[in-house]
Amino acid sequence: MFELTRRRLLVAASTGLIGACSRTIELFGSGATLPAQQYAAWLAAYAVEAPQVRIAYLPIGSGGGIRQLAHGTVDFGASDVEIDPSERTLLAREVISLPTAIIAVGVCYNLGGVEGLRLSRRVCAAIYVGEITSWRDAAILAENPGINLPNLPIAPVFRADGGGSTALFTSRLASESSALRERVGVGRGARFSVGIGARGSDGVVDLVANIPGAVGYVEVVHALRAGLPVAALDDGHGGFVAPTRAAVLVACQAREPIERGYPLSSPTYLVVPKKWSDPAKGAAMARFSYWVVTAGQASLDGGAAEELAASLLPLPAPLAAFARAELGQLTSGATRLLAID
Amino acid sequence: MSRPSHPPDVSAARLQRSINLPDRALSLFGNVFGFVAPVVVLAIIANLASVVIADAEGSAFLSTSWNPARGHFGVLPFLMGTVVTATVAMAIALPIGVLAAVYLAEVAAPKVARVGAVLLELVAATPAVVVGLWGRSVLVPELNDLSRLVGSAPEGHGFGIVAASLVLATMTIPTIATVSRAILRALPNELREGPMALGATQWETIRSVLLPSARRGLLAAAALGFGRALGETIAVSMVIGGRPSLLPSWGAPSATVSSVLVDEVLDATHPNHIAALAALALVLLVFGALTSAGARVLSRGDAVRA
Amino acid sequence: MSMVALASMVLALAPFAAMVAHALATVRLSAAIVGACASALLASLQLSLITVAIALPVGVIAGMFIAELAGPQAVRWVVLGHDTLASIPPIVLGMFVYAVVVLPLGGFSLFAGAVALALSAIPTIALSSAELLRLVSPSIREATLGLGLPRHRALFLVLLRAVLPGVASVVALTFARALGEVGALLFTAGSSRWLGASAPTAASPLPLEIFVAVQSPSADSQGRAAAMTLTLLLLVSVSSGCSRLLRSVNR
Repeated sequence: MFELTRRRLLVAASTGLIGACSRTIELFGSGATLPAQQYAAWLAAYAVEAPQVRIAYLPIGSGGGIRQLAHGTVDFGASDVEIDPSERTLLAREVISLPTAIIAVGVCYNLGGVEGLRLSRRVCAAIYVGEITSWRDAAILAENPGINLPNLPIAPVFRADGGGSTALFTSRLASESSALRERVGVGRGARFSVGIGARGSDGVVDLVANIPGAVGYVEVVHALRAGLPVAALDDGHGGFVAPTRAAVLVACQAREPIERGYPLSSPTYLVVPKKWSDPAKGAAMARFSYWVVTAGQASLDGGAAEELAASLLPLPAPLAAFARAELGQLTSGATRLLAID
Repeated sequence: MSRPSHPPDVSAARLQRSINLPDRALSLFGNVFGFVAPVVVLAIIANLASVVIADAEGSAFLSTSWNPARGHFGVLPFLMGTVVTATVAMAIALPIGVLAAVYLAEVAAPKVARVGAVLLELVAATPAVVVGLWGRSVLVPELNDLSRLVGSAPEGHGFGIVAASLVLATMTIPTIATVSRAILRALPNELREGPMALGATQWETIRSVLLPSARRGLLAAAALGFGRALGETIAVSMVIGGRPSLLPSWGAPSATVSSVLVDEVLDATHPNHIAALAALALVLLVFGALTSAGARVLSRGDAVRA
Repeated sequence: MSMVALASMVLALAPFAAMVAHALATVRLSAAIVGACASALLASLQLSLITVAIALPVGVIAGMFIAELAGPQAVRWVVLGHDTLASIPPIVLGMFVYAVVVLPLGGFSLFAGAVALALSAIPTIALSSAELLRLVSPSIREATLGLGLPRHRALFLVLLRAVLPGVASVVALTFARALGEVGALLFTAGSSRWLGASAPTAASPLPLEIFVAVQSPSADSQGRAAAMTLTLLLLVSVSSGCSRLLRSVNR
């Protein structure tokens, strides 16, 4: 019943008994659901690396994680997009946004067996503000010359519960469509006035799979697992690119989104407080985070560059370097927690 | 010698209050536990109100658009969704529920009536999530197919006001039927025998004598059902489509006060967003309290506790 | 006209039959699903037991307070408080418990869920207990007075015993309701699970699992939802049946 509280009390008690030499340190985090599976794998691997550190992660969504971090309920959060200024105000303390892996949001669709669909971001935006309502619209036909599109109305599916994929989708589309910027907004709280709201990635995939003519935005991982085709999006240079591993990694070479590769790509972040009052916990967090952005990246490798991104992708070198540098900002008292080379 | 059945004279009981410890402990616990409910109610109201007052931006809540990313926190679309779904649900559930109660109380043979009453209670205990699952897996696709049969292609593909109202009606009918049946059974037999002796048919009796006599109790049952429909959360959120709109239309997805709470409470971080959701929770609280009080006033003294 | 009434009765019951039929049609009973049902069932029973453990003493003693111990002014406010608490939708109760239990104590737990459910149940138990106590025959009360029993003995040894079946019936009803509730659990017991080596391993209660599983398109998830639905319906029917049985014993 008091699972967490009792556990904490037990840990505190046993900590006091055993002494400083072999303390078990517990860390709790919560936040984004998208990378949850990968985080679970990392936690299991790290438990072998550092058995005296026990970390638990609760995937309740980026917003929930930030609120729990603000309340002090958890030690770190996780978010699919960089946290915005109002969230920093809510947290009321300095945090770093630590990129841990690369995610890709795919535009999946249900056109009765049709594959290889191309959708530019402009067309996607037009669909999601209701300007394009049929699959045989001129704009879509122009981008898909070789494909026999069925004469179906488009049923856009969006996330009713917000989430990181909504934030990523809207932010990457906003540059292409003022209508989207004005009517839908950008961020987790963006709201659409066309289409059907689904709950969770599972919900999006469920609706798209069951409604002919549906289109939805969801993590590529989820779409592939459900057997849904994902569209190729415009790469900013006149071509179309599917969310292959290579295309996704190319788009994330720097902190700012760049006009290359697959556009709906982004790092996913851990939100870690800068200042730690408990030096042991802070050190444990710092070491775990460092492990994630260095040794832990190895488990993300593998898979051909031309394959669709069926899992999270490792950080490209520039982002990994940035992540390591960010970790240098973690302190406890006056001392830096990590000596970064 | 007949005595009125009421508890013993309070002053006499009080005289007996000795200074022994267990009695005082009982009194203490009684006071503490007795006031848990009112205190919690006040705490909830205070908690929600404090969030609203601290972070709300005046009349922004009364605007007609809900878009947290753009700073719009107009709650009216949700109020519309809640009121429309609850009203349509009641329009369906009230006649069916009362008629079902009439069937059990007046028409059916005693054995059939007993079995029917038990079945009704069973159905009334069905968890909302089970109704929601049926709604989403069976009702929504059926509504979609039905609409296409008559030529319209609903935007919501079955999700929306119609599905939500039907789901609410399904959940409210058993409650209304059970309560109405109890009310009808409590009516004295003279009300049935008198008109029949004068030559009225059973249905003329029911329509002209029984139902009017039971009117107050039936209204209480209706108030109870309406209150439930306003506050029902899970089943509605599974079939409504999650898209707030100020003027809900039949074929399009919509949203209600309770569905937006399910969808957005855990993810909201912006203080205005949280305040708007707290305001919506307060609205639900007030709806519930008002309809419940209304039902109590109407039933005044009858044991109408669902 | 009688046909219309009969049709209404059928309409009242038909959706329930459709729900059961759909569950039976889509259910899958793989080993994994049966295992998941079993742990969810255990979590549900745990949750309902904790709920009753909290709500029963508070409710019964509050009922005693209303019926026997409180002055008339206090009774009005206390009863009003209970009626209002009973009318608050469970999701609002869940939001409150999220703010005062989950956020400070650190995370979702069955206990937080039980607190939210107990808040919903206390008014029912209290008001029913008060009603039952009021109906106890005056001769029994006079007997306790005549024997010179102190109040706590009178209440617990005599009056409470007299209304025990009725109270037990309400408790069974509370148990049944707690089994099926989701709204109060969304922000308290949570529909997500802790990951990691030190994660508490409690499963989610049945209705929460159903709520989450419904979202998934795979036939396996649908089969899982159906299996849990059937389990839940069985459990709720049994508890409601017990409640009904105890109610008739009371008479």
